[in-house]
Amino acid sequence: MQAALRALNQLVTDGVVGDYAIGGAIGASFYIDALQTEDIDAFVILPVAVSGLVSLTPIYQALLAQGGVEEREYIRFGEWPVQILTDANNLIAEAIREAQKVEFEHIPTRVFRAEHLCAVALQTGRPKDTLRVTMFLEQGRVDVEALHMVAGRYGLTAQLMQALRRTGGGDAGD
Amino acid sequence: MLEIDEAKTALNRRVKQSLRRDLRAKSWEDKVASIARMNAAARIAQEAMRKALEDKAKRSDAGPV
Repeated sequence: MQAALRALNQLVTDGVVGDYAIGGAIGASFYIDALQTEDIDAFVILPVAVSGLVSLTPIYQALLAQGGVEEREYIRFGEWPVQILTDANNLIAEAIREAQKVEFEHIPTRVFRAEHLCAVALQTGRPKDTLRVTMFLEQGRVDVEALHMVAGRYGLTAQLMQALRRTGGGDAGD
Repeated sequence: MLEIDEAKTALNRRVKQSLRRDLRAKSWEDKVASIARMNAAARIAQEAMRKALEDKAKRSDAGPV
């Protein structure tokens, strides 16, 4: 995974992306038990193009130039496919902006905060996302008050209350 | 009727909690390495399954008429 992180850091240094942060299962594994996943989800802030067109081409080109191998919608570094995902909504944009700085094998990187990983999972709402939120709550690895605030800002309170009820942590009384 | 041995149930619970504590104590690097091993194991299992299906298809083609 080190090669992928070095390449992502280089994207920021070279101004190809504004910034990036790791989300998805690899990001979640920073906080909770390891989750099965095939890839690294790298969420990026795209620079504003003069044309106004949104394109991942410059990012893919830069990653290929750093030794990545194109493979369907991924760029593979060693055994790790990297999927580039954009700041497609304001929740993701906030998650990237407020990501925490961490290290992986002494390589600096950024990971979504726990409350943002949960909020994105609540928004996505697939069974595996539901499981992920349950794990955060059951393992006590998310500040529930902070999660309530994020959920409130992005219209996800109902989904959060449902998750809290499932884990016995809800106070909705029903 | 279900009969429960409370002492053994408590022992099982302690064993599970101990494993859970160990898993949580793992570093991010350790957890990512676990994920990589899970993926490698999944690839081996998929390959074995593919080969088993191929062999089964061959046997069925060569079977008695």
